[in-house]
Amino acid sequence: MKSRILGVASIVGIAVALYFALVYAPTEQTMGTLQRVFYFHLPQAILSYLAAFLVGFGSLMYLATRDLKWDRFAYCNAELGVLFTTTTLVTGMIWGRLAWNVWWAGDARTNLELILGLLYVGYLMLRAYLPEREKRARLSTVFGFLAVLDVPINYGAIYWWETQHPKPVLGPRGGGADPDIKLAIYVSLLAFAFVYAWLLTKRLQVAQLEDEVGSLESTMEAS
Amino acid sequence: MNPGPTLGWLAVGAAYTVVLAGLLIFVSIMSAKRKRLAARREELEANQ
Repeated sequence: MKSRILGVASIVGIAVALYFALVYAPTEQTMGTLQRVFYFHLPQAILSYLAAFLVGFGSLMYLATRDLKWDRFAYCNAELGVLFTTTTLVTGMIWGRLAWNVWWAGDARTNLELILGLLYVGYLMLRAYLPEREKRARLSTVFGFLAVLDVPINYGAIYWWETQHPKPVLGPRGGGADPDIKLAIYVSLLAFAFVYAWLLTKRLQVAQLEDEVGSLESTMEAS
Repeated sequence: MNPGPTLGWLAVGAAYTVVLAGLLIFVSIMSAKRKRLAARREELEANQ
């Protein structure tokens, strides 16, 4: 039921966000129409950060409780992390090709986002090579904590190093964006947050099924 | 640099397609995995 509500909210949210991004928001003066890529790029980036914090939280809770439900929570978020870092990087590359005339600027922000994506991939690859369930859960927490470490460095990169990446428009250190542009960003962020929650709920159900099948197979082999 | 409205809209369309395609691929893989696991569980339970 919860999953169905989230599914409907995601579909409606995406349609509303599309209206706000393409119709409601005014055309930005400097970048023109190209700036509208930002309404999809920013929510993907924020959710790729959120995934890291949730992987870290799940890992920490697993180490504290040794309950496998937290391990499932961590690795489902790591998979979503792969998805959202990929869409962040690709939408950013599309924007960068037209704004900066390069596909990959190679600055600190983009490189650290790539590293975040590779940490998620590393987390999942490590799990694939560890057949023992408990050991898999315990060792993969290392990559989970590394992903958490990447996020503040990634966020601060545009302040600490010379980068081409634009400065943020939201938050206390943000620039003065048009209120309609800010509203379109918030709507898009909310819509993709629903999508994230829906995908996580569905993925957790599949992860539960994976563990059930794994335990049935172990029982069959033992008998 | 402002590439103009035509290239701008093309980029917006491409970016949105990438996002939707990513979501669709993820949902498809997850759905296929769920069906495969459900079938496997039924098979194992029948053999018990």
